[in-house]
This record gives sequence, C-alpha cells and structure tokens, in this order.
Amino acid sequence: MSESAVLEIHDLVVHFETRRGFRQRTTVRAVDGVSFDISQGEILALVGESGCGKSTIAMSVMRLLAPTSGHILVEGRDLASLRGRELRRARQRIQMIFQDPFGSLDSRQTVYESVAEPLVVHGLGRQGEERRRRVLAALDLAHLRPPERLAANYPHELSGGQRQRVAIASAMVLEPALVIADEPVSMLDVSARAGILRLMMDLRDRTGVSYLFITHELAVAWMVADRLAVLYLGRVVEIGTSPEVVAHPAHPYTRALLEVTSGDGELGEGAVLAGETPSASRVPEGCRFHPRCPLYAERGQPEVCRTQDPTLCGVGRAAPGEREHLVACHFPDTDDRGAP
Amino acid sequence: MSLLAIHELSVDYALGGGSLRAVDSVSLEVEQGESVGVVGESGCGKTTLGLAIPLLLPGNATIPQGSIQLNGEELVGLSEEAMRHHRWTDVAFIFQGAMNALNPVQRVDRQILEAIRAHEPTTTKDEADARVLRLLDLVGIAPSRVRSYPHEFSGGMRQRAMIAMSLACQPSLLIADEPTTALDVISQAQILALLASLQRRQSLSLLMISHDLAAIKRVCGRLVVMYAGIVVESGPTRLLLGHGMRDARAAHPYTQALIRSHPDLQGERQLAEGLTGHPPDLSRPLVGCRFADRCPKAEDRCRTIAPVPVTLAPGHLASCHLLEAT
Amino acid sequence: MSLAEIVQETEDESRRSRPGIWRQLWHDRMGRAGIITAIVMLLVIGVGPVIFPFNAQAFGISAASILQGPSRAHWFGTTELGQDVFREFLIGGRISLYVGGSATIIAIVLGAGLGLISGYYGSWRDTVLMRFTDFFLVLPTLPLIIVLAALFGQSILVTSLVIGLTSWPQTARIIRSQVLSLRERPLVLRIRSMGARDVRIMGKHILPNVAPLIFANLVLVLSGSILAQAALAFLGLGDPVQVSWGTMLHNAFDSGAMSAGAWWYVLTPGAGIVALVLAFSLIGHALDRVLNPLRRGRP
Repeated sequence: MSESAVLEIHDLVVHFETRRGFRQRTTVRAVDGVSFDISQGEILALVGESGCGKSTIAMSVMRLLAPTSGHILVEGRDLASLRGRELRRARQRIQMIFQDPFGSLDSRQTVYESVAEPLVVHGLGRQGEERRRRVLAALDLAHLRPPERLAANYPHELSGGQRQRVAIASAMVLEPALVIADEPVSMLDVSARAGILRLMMDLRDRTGVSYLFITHELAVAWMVADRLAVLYLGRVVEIGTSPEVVAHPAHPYTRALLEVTSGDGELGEGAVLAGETPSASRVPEGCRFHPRCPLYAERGQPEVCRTQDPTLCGVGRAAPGEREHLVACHFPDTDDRGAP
Repeated sequence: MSLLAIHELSVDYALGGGSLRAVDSVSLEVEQGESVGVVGESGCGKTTLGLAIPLLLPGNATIPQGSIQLNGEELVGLSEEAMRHHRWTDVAFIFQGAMNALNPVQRVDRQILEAIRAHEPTTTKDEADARVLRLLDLVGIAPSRVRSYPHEFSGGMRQRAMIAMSLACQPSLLIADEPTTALDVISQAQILALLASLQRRQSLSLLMISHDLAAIKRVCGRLVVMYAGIVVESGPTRLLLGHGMRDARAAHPYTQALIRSHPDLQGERQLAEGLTGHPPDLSRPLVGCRFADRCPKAEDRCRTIAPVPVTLAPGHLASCHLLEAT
Repeated sequence: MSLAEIVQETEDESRRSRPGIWRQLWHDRMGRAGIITAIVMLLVIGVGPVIFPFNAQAFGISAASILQGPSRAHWFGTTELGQDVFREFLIGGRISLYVGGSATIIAIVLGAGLGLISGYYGSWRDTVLMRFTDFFLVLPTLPLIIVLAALFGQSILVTSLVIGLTSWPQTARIIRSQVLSLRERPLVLRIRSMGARDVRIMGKHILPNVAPLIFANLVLVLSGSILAQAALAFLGLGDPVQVSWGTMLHNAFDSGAMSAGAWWYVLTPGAGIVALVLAFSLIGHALDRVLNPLRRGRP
C-alpha cells in the first residue's frame, strides 16, 4: 500500500438481501471481498462482465450505497465515519462520470449550468466572476472550445462525444483527487472513443488526478490504464500492470477474455468459454470460476478447485519498483503458455 | 442470380417540415450462402437499409427510388399483404435489442410455435413441436430449458432464442441488426460463433449490420462500409481488414480510420486513433464527398465533387477521389 | 439496448427536431378542439359579465315573467324566480370555474408534493405516505361533504376542500411513479454523488422534469373537479348563495322546470358544464399523448 494512496479498498463486501416470495430470502453477493488501492496520478481499470460487481464498487466508493462490510479510505479518511458537512466536503474529492452521456446531463440545463452545478452545490466560487472563470476553465480543459460558445448549448445540440466531455468538465471543475469513470466510452462511437480516452489521460498528466476506470472491454482498459484488475462474480481474480496482464495472463478467465477480444478470424464454437456467468445469488462453492474453467476440466476436476476459494497471490514477475502481478487461482499460468 | 440484389436504393424520412435522405443510392448484393456485413457508425443509415429490405420501415419513411430484389422478385412497391408472405419464410429480421422483444408472459417454446403456426398454418402440432425443439437445439438451448419464460433466460440465451425464432420458417436470408450489442463480451463471442456456424451448416445467407468491425470480421465474408447514407467501400473481409487488422488493405480513408480506432492487443500498447468531428447533417443539401470534413487526406476537389465507386480489385470497390489516380 | 433505453433514445432524437409542446398540441385534433373550446368558454365566462352587466336585483316582477322561454329580452329565458337565465349562466360559470380551480390547486399541491417526496425518498417514507394516500383514496366524496357541510355549513370553501381532498391521491400516484423512474437516471445519481442536498435535487432536477406531467394531470383534474362540483351542487350540497351551474340545475329540477317544459333552464347550464369539462378533458388527454413517447406510435 503506497503512502500517497488516493483510494484504498479493504475487503469490501456488498451483499443485497432480496426476498423472493413469502419465505425465500436470497443474498446477492454483488461484491464478495475486494481489496485494491489507487495511487496519486494512477489509472486503475476494473474489468469484468455484467454482474461482476464493478458498478457496485463504484457506487460504494461514492457512498451512493452503503457496503455490508469493509473499509473505503479516500485520501486516508474513512468516508463511513464522516457526517454532514464533513462528508459533503469529502465528496468534493471524488467525482463520477457515467456511461450514458445524455442521461447524466439535465436536458433542461445549459452546458454552463451543468458544469457550474458542483460549484453551486458546494457553495464555491461565490462571486459570479470567479465561478464563470472556473466553469470556462473546466470546459477548456475538456477540449470544448471555444468554451464561451459551447457553454450556451443544450445537451441535445451536442454530439455524444461532446456531451461526455461536458460530463468530464463538470467532474473536473472541483479539481478532485479521484474520478470514477463508469463505462465512459461504451455508448460512444468507436471513432469518438479515442478522443475521450486521450482527454482523460491528458487530464491525468496535467492535474495529477487518479482514475478508477470501469469497463467491460479489456482492450479499452489496456489502452488507458496503468494497472488493471479483472473481476469475476464479485472478486478480483487477477490484478497487475496492463502490459503485464495482457502479455502474460495468469488466470484462465483473463485468458478467455483476451482470446475473444484479440483473437481474429473464425471462432470455432469450442474456442469460446462455454456457459454463462452464474447469478451472484448462487455463487459456486470453492473457486467461483471452476464450473466454466477450462483448466478445471483439463486437470480432471481437481478437488481443491471445488472446495477452496483461492486468494490473490503473486505471480512473481514484477520488476523492482513495479507493482506486483497477483492472481487468484490454484493453478495459475506462470509460464508463457497461455498468451494469445 | 443473387439471392438479394439492392440497386440504387434511397430511403427518405419525413421530419416535421423537411425530409432527410437516410440512405442514398445504395447498391449491394448477397449471394446464396454468403454472409455480408454492413458496418458503420450511428446515423450512417445501416439500420434503415436493413429495415427497408423486409419493408419494415416506420410510417414516415418512403422509398423514392431504387429496387430490392429477393430471388428475382421485386419487393419495393409490394403491398403489405404480399410482403407478409415473404417475411419470416424468405427473409427474417432480428431487430436491435430483439432479446428484449420476447413476450414476457409467454413461454419461449410457445412463442416460436406461434411464429411457425402463423406463417405455416398447415403444420400439424406434432410437426411444429418437433421443429421448435430442433431449432432451439440448433442454437444451443438444451431441451430441458425450452419451457422457460424469457426472464429465466440470460441475455445471451434470449438472443439465441430470437435467432431460433427467426429461423423457424427456414428463410433463405437472415438480417441481423446489431445482434451482439448489450451482451457481455463472452456472450457476444458465443453468439457470433453461433451465427458463423449456422451460416456454414444451414447455408444460410446472412446480412449482418453492426458498428463493431471485430464482430463482422468473425462472421462475414464480405464487408460493406457505410457513411452518412452511402456506401464508401465494399469488398472481401479478409482483404479489407487483413489479419488482426495489421495487413489491412482497406482503401477508403474512413474505413482506414475505423480500423485504426480498434485497439490491437497484439500490437504496441498505445491509444487507438480516433476521428474528430461528426457526420454531416443529412437534412441539409450535401456537396462533394461526405467524409471530406473529417478526412485527413481531403483535397479541394473532395469538397466540391462527390466521388464515384472505383474498382480496385475484383469485388473491391471504394468511393474516393484519391483512388481515381490512374 | 433495453426497451427503456430505446425509448429514451427515441425521445432524445425527437426532442432535437420536435416543435414546442403547444405547437404539438395544436397539431393534435383533440388538442386543437379542446383549446378552442376552452378559450371560447373562458372568454364567455370571463368577459361575459362585463359585457352584459345585469342588474343583480332584477327579479321577476310578476308571475308572467317566471319560467319564460327565450325571447328578445331574455336570450335564454328566465328562471323560476324570473331571473335572466343568461345572466345566471355567466355568473354561475365563474363560480363553477372558481371552485373547480381551487379544488385543483389543493389536489395538485398535495398530490405532486407527496408524490415527489414519496418517490424520491422511497423506503419507510414512501410506505407511510402511500398508506396515507390510500386512506384518502377510499374516502367517499358524498358522505364527507355531508359531514363537513353539517359542521361548517355549505359553502364553496367546503366544496373546494372536499373535491381537492378526494382528488389528490390520483395525482400523487402518477407523480410518484414518474419520480421513481427519474430517480434512477444517471443524472440524479450524478448530482447525488456530488453531494447535493435532497431539496436541491428534488427542486432543481426532478421537479422540472416532472412538470409537464403535473401540468397534464392538472388539466384533467380540473375537468374532473368542475364536473364534481356541478354534481355536488346539483345534489343540493353546494353553496346556495353563490349560484353555480350545478346549483342552477338543482334549482331547475327543484322547481319542476322539466315538467313545466322549461328546457332552456336545464340546457343552458348543462351545455356549459359539458363544454367546459370536455374542453379541459380533451386538452388533458391530448397533452398526455404528446408527452408520452410510448404512445406516440413511432418506432
């Protein structure tokens, strides 16, 4: 754990109790023990398919929902212990960008009003001139130029990429320490994505802001993130630097993701991982991936996979100064065998 | 004779006071047993093109010119009654987000049964039941799951059910509009593999519409690239996209830009390039090449004269002034 | 894409090329008919008494002036007291509208307010408020007004109150359901994540987006209230002094106008009620069509 950690998550657990019918009560284990940290100026990507818990983690960090257990420390402070004005002040340090660029902006507000909103909410930039300066600076930072002209537009007059930039400007106007980006480019056209990703990296370089980048696309994470964590059914199954994880994936799930993303040409039906991700209310015993794991089948269904939940262990490849490559698997691939 | 032959087709939308040409003189052909992919970004007209074929366009759309021939028969101008005979039995359409269009209060097998009964009423109950089971098996849904309701299926399985339903009456042509959007990466790959195998095994002709070049690459032998209502390039997928996008031989700057926008995990780790700006407003009159505003190689003549298709190799056409050289 | 997203995208796209709500209402046949009728009626009611100032004390002088048919002197005939029906009609219209309007304001303020709070906060607040709403939903209008009238006398205040109190649950439910869905939109999540106070979120982001729905509902409640007021007055529960159209009908029947063949006495206020209620009803339904993307019929 680095001293300049902007975000620290320790054993985060988020379980939802649902009641189906009169007597049945099921527990949806959305997040089942996740730990990671983000240093200052770092971009960490959470990669996983729907149901893996990545959005739930984001909501927990933003305190839009309360975790079942675990600790979330923002700049060293546990948000759970803060109340009222202190909590609101702490919220300034984390901002969020959502997947839907149109849905996250108020269609009745101009771009200026949307970007000024955080300032208004926190009572900052009291003199009109100061506020205006900050808004225009944020718009400019988000490459929305000329800022004065675009500030008067309404969301429906802008393209998807521009709207997302407005959302980014609104997140940056408070100069936060951490920005959580939940699938920021999935609803954008492929040609517009690069611009947004480049912007985000540019902002990191210029202001030192950190990102928690959530995506279901491994390729996007690879391009933009320093480190990436692969999630499956509420758990981190692999975490390491982007080049390392993509070049030497140690977990079979990561390998499967890589294969469908980067492989090309005809896909035999056998090459794709079979089945579907089980529901988070029925997490498999032992290693949660074992029912679909090709290694499990290959190795004759070893008992350890059925009974023991693997923990994150080092893969032993990190150079000095580099962050470790960790994987949660009983039979991780530590040679180059699996790289596609 | 091609299974599907679209010639100079245009589709206009009437919008409060004006009109917009969403598809402008598009020609394309699908041979028997072939799979063709139509790729383009939002607003390029690919969905409109797809909807035009089975004449499923919304009320404010008209076809001012062009022809759509299915097995030699002209579809444009057919009455709704006549078209209904062709739908599902000759050409089936899977809508975008179709997996959510299943009737939530009816079992999946019954829905497919209904489709069969509606189009082939002479089928006996036993025959129809057997067909339903076969169809669902074809798409990889186990017999034990056929009597489920849609909400008991995952997204991937619902999409499989939709594919099964579309094949219920053995159409010769299947049009799939964004069959993998909203699915998880692994489910997407599964559906694409399924489509590819169905196409091979049933010699089904497939017209797949998608914004995802990688998806089209996995399934389609031929590629048609659309931009702002027109076809800018078409040709064999292998030739245009190459292996892993690296030895791509696509000639049109837009296609090239699309290819460069897709990250290549096997290459160097860098940010894929993108395109600035956005497509032109189709409700305004257009002059010159539609891509000129965003094209890195645009010259003066590109802004004034619209380019015409040039044959670069057998089956490979592109509309760009820079290719007209010799 | 889920159906909700497809709907949202259709809505967004059409917002770009969509003319204003009023223009759309005008294009809709129902809306146009409603607007025209409403304007005509409002003009008649509003301006009528000014253009035709009748002497309030002009009761009939002799028996001969009672229940007279339409004539040059009395365009719509006379009442059983020899009053001019037209004059009574013009004044009665104001009362009908006034009561209808007050009741509507009570209903909308209560209904929208509770719906907003209920939908936004959810959990126990929602449960409590919804049970409270249910209580008022099943409250029967007639016994309530009889009891209140017995306690506080028959007046337009009591009538307005009763109608308002029995109409608000409908509004509350509609608004609550819209707020529930708005609350989950990324916009609200984003503003909440910023740390904005609930009051600000409700007032600045949710309320304006619910306003069109509130307005459509308001128009329908207005039409219903006017009808309710007429019905209550007809049954004799209205204010006997402030004569509304309903009261006119009550008086007409009471004095045996029908059997005397004095159709003008019944038709005039009756037609007035129908026209006014129909006008607002048409506008309300047309508004609902205009605002509701799923009903617009475009893919």
